[in-house]
Amino acid sequence: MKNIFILITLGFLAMIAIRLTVFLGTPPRPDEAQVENRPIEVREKGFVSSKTCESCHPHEHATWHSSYHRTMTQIATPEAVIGDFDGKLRNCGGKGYRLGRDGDNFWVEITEPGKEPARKDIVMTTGSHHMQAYWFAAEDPDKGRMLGLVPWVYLNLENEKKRWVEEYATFLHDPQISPHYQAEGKWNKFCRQCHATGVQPHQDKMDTRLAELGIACESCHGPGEEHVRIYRDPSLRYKKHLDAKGHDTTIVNPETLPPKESSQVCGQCHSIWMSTPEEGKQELEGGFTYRAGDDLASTRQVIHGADMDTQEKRANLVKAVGRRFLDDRYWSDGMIRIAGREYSGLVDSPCYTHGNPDKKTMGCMSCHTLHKKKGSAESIKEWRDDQLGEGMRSNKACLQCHEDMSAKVPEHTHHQAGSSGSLCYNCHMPHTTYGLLKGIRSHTISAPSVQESLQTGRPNACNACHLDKTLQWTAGHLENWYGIEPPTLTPPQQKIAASILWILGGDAGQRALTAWAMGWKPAQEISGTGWMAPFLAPLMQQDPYPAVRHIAQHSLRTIPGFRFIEYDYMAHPNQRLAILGKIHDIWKRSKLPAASRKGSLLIDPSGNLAQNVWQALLKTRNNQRVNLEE
Amino acid sequence: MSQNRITGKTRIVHRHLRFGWWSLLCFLSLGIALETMHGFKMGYYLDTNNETRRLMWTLAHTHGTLLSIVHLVFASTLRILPQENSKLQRLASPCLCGASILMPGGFFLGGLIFYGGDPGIGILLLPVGALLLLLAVSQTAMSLGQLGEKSAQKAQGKTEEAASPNQ
Repeated sequence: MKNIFILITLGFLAMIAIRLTVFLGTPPRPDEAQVENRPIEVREKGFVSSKTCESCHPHEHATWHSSYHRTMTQIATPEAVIGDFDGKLRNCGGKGYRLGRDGDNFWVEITEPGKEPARKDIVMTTGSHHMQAYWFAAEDPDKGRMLGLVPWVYLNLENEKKRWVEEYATFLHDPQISPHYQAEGKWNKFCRQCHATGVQPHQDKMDTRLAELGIACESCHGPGEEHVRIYRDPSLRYKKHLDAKGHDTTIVNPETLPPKESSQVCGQCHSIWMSTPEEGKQELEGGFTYRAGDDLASTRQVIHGADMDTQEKRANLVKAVGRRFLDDRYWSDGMIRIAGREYSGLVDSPCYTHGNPDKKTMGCMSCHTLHKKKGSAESIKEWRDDQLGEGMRSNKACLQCHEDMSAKVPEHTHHQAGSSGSLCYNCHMPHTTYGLLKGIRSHTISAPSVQESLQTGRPNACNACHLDKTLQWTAGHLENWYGIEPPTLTPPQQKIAASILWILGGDAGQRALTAWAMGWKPAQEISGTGWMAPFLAPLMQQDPYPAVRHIAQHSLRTIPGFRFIEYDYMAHPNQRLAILGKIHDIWKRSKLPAASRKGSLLIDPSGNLAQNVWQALLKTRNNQRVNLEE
Repeated sequence: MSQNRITGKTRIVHRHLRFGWWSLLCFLSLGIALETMHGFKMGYYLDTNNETRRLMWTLAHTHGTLLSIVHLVFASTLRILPQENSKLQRLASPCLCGASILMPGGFFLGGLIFYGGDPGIGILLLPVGALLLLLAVSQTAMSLGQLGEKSAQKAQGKTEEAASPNQ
């Protein structure tokens, strides 16, 4: 009997020892107050951090934790870093960068001609979905918590080889100046505005403090201190649980806000804005005063299409922010053309302006859900890509308001029921914004218009899918189906496929969007792919914008016969010269369907390319500088 | 009369032995059911949004199992007591039985329907059960104090008997 008691006691002691070992074996994160070389997390101004929310809201915490909002900014730990810190030397802008790691610590060694190499700690990361950027500590007492950006980012695109690439090459930025761009202090001045929660910049001393890295619970729900304090009382918690309709005044829930207020919560980051002068001044010290549930307009002016729909308004805006600021962000009619600023697009949509607050329409939450619903059949991986609600990839998204259309969708779209042409958003939310090396859906809900394509250069929904059709073809159908008066078209616009005009003669933004559309499955299915290679080839060979070259090669690899073609879009121009010949050789050997041998695609019936027209269009290319500030 | 007293204590001992072994069977079966849900990765039990259910049911299993063993220990304790103990039989025994139903039951119901990180309203059974368990354990502990005194008296009596064999 005595032996049994001894055995049981020993068993308990062993269990305690194991638990302690596990607990102590986890390396602790440094006490934030001791950290001097990067922005630090502090619990101030009513912020309590997501860790506090987890115990009562495990589902919401778990879905947020798996989202890309959380990983927007992280401390550079082995769990967060996805890049291959291989210790190889890479050059950019006349400097050398060697990225390596010692155990759990990451570093960059920067070499400059005539200077000793300087090794800096990598302390923070940005992003994880498509790419990840790395920030090193300036480690200069005069610069406070200032960070510098390693000008190499790690590309993490699905179905593509993971690789290091110069940071400027991941954006559609002016290739002449981009490699020499210095980003010291960029995070502390700009990125922190939206890539962290509850930021207090203290910009004069660069003493950046924040409630939490990444976009966390309190970005959208507001500071949680009062809510946590009140609901420590279990009787109040259960009272709330049992009274589902009860309104909780201690915290903001964007799902229960009216659609416009709820959309402003997203709009605090997903828009382009100017702060009011008072806000601008105080923001540099204590951060933005906007909190979820506030009226965004009281501290900022969100810039959108309605601010530039007349010459006079546009001229005033140009005076305030500069022409280049607008050109880098908007199509000429004021529609947003860069990704991540969807709220600036949404607010110009009739669905938003004429929404029905009782029906909770229309706002961001009409289609998106920031916490994957319990029991949803979608995997976390599918959901977190664009955080759409269940069924919102179908016409259900639009039919929740336009119920009267549900029985007559094919009649309205003139496309076969269930086809990609019968999906509302393919016509009303085409991929006309650019970001993250791809085309992204416009969030200004609009109707296809050839006139707008002519005025702004923006691809219209019809020609962004029917890549083999001309603007005249589209204008004819819009007239026949919807009575839209056709605009006057030039001979090339009448005879040559719109996609070819844009990809050969358009500006870098148009080229990027059209090249991306050539890899978009619904467009490939309806337009065929056999004819596309000769039009992607010149982009891959000579386009000065690395992002355009990247998109062109990505689309080319989706075309049968080109999947394994050897090509590096960041190779020296001389090394890229051969790609044109290679692509033409493969293309000539492939069997081009008769349907693709037509004048509108610059291909004669025997399958030869109309080189003279092709060359002439290339010469008319719009080489105006494009710098899309996504 | 003596026969009746012995029968009463034995009846309680038998009750706790039956309760203990049957509830052990019940809660070990629950443990197997939980392991099976683990094995088949059942979202109803394992999904992150069901973490509260998992915690509550695990607690129901552990509390139920441990309380079953407490019943067996209680039966043994009662058995070694030299005589009838009305407090143990009338108070501790029903309290222990009540606690053994209310505590694991509260955890189980708390996990059946729950509110985020808060268990369902069934968890209200838990504090009642805990109070009953506290009563049962305190009564038992106090009875064992008497056991010490009575044993000492008994032992003293034996010593005295041994010291005066001629009496």
